[in-house]
Amino acid sequence: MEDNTIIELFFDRSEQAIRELDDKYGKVCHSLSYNILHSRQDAEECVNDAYLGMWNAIPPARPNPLLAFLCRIVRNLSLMRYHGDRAFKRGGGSYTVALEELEGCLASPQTVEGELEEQELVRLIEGFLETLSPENRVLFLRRYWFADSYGEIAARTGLSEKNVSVRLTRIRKRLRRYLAEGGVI
Amino acid sequence: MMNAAQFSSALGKVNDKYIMEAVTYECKKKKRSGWLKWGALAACLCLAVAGFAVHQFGTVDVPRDTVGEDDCAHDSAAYGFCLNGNSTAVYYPISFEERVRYELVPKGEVGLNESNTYQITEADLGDLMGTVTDCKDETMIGSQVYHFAKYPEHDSICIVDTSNGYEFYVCSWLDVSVEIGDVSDAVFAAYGLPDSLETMGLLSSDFQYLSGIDDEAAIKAIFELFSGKVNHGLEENERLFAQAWYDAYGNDDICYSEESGTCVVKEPSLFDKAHELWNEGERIVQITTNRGFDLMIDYFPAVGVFTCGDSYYELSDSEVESLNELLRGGL
Repeated sequence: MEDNTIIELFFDRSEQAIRELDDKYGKVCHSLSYNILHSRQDAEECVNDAYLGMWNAIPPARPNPLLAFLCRIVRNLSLMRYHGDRAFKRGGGSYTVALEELEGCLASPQTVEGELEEQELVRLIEGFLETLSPENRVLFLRRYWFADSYGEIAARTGLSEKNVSVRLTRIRKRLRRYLAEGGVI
Repeated sequence: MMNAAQFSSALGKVNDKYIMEAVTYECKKKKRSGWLKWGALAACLCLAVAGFAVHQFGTVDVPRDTVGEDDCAHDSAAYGFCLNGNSTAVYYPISFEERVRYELVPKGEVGLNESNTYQITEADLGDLMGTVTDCKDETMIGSQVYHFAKYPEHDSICIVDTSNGYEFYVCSWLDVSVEIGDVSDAVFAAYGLPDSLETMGLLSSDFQYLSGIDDEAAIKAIFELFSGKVNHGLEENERLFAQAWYDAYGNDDICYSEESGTCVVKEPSLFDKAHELWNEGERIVQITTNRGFDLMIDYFPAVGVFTCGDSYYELSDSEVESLNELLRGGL
């Protein structure tokens, strides 16, 4: 079903909208949430919460692209739960490992004066993404936005896991250089 | 100081286009067959090089100005094209890094914007190179292609008279397919090497320029070492990398998998250790021709292989020693 049709179902307050949304994008959402939470049950709950969020947001919103909007909600809810549940030291998921990779990349003995505005950081990150090739950009987003494992990225891109790992290492190096030049680290 | 969680949170707010690009990217494993599909395939697989990036294990980077050329992600993709039916050279919209290379943006700029975008005029048009004969975007077919007057001898950059006006396109490398069992000479022949040699340079594994190689005898010896080698293919190459691990550590924590045709690892955390082993001393030999094309040869002395495009070649111990000596001389 086309995204526009699904949105129309939301506007009609038809519960079929949720079923269609789940049919079309449920797999992407569950995978994203599971990568972050490493728990099927929690991922299930988060995705359901995200569907509820969609139900509340549409109308009035007419998100375009629908999938990006949905993924953003799933990611935000999953991260909220991830950080909220850290007392349980859940760990073990791809997101935890991805965060550790980023920690290594961002670590700096320097202390940057003042708090960096998040919007400014978003702008910097977008600038960095523009310097990457489409394929490398996908690798980066799949790893750090979607928290995919190397294996999942390899399957998606047709690269070997080793190649994915090599590329991501290089991209992190570039990121570090880019952020350093931007005075962020 | 920013931490990873803050970074991750900010990353979560990047523009939808990046998310859509990542979420819709579903490309198949790189195959050479059916090149005519390249309009979609090559863009998806990023088979072009931005002047530098034939990566190890046969993959390449293609930094572009926009995300639009990714056919997997966008309907409004910008496609590559072939000129005069020559499928070896595929031209793509110019990237920011390529604009820097061709001095089309002021020094120090970090990204493309309206104010620093080079405005092409008729004065920039050099001789006619030909017409677009193959492109997935049918509106491009038949468009006239000109040399860029600033680089009249270069075939690597051109100006296309598109329906949207003049646009820069580049072809930084040639798409030379070498079948498994065939020799590396086919690659050099396609580039017209060694006669067409303009410069030879040495890059680090992350493509930082280290030095030029100017000595004629050294250049000749390097060509000789790279010539006549048999493409043993990706799978054999992976076996060599797995063997290098075994030789170093005496275990199969990283081993070759017949099923996947690649190295597999028991623990992702071992990758860093493996990379240190495999990539020790890795160098990229950048050969630029008088037509502006770059041939990148990725050399892994620790494993004794070099890769070039999607072909993989093995060197003997003595050849590795000789090559190391020659490349050290370039530093």
